[in-house]
Amino acid sequence: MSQTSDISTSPSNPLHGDAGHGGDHHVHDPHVAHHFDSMGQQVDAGKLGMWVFLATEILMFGGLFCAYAVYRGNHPEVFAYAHHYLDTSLGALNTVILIASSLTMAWAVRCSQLGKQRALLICLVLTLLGGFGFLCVKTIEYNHKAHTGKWIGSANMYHPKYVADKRDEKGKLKAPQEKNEANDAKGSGEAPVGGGVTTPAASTDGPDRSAIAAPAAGPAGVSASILDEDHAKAAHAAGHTMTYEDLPKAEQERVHIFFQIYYLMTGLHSFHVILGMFLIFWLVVRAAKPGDRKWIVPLFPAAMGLFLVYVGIVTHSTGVMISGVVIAGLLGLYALWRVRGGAGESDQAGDFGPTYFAPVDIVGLYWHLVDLIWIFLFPLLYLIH
Amino acid sequence: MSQSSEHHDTAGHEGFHPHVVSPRVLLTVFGILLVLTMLTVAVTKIDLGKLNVWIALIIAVAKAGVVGLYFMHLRYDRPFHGIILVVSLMFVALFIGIALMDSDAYQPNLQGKPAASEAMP
Repeated sequence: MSQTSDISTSPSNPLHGDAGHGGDHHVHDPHVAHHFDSMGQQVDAGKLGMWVFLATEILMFGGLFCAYAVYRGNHPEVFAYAHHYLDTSLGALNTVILIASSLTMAWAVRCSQLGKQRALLICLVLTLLGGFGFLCVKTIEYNHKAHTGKWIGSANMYHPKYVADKRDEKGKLKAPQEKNEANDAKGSGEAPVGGGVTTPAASTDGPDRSAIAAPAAGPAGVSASILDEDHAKAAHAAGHTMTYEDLPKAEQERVHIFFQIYYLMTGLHSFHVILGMFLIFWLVVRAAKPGDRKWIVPLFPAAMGLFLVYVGIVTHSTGVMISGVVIAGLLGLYALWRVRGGAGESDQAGDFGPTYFAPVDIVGLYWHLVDLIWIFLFPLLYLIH
Repeated sequence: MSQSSEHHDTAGHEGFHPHVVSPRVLLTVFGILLVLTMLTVAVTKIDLGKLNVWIALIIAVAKAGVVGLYFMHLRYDRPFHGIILVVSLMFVALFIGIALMDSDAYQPNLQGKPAASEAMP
């Protein structure tokens, strides 16, 4: 607590009060911007800004957690069923990877505060590797779901397959009564005739589509009334032994809503991981000696290229694999060319030290927030009882 | 933490004594997080009905608290940063809580099919 009072009193410090703008400490320390009185004040302002940003991040994820809570409250059985298709051990592995990378990040902050240049670099690279590890595991998970019919597209209204139908059905989607008509007709064993639906393909699809359209658009609870009760009972009776492929179409699409929430939450989270990795790479470059930066700079895009190769191998996608090889190869050659070109004469230290470590600190806060969000996502998505 | 002030003599740094977290604390926190992760996986295997969700959430909050206090330096930081975090969480709780209350309030209207079709204008 002592440093808090020190920081808050420093602007009124007589040394600074007299110096004013253009004081000689600006010459001594290029890291303090001219509109700040002291490093303490600058660090404090930066941290405050970062915390406000983190609060907005939490609020943004709060919207997704809200969607999760409402849908789970209305359809606990769908969640209990669908989470069996998530691999708990892979989720736990990712949790451990993220926690470990949080540890190395916190250690990197410590190293930068103490001016340990080499240890700082090692910690940052380890954190970066943690990010890659997380994405590698995530790729395996996403790929497995994509190959078992649980990917985002196939049951999604915005999938190209549905675009033509959607145009036909516009009137139908606007009027909810007709959805019920269609459902009643199906319940009584007759094909729906009204509702402006004339093509046979559309009439068989109709009731099922209305079942997914409802929870996505209106209050999620609406779907409970529309769902065919016999289907619901069949699913309940069968319990978890029923495989996804054997489910009635309406149930499959309800399960899809779980997966869409899953993809939105984990996808947004993975996006944050990728963003954090770029920021950490920026730190790696700045923490390195200026003479080393010329070969470090192409390293990260090259690593991204290798990651693309990995994604290509996992998803059996030759295009992704080739683009990864091209990126990694070109950047590797570029790095070699640059290293050969100029001798590293500069032996200065990296940018960070005891007097200047705010970037490490603030990127660290971001990385820990990513970890925090995963700490909540993991039990909520993977560990439903 | 006075060692940082001894490393430099430039002006503009007096009053700037950042807290350095010791390796012992960092490793302890890491251990606690690993144990809690194992615990939250293990507790899923026991059937406690509705309690399962709450236990999972309590463990997650405990993990988040440890990460926030030590990895994110909240324990040694200005209290205001912690207040920002807690207030944002309170707004999320308000948002989710009221959305759930709203969703629950509509449930009686949605129980049976006939009632539902009447409820929908």
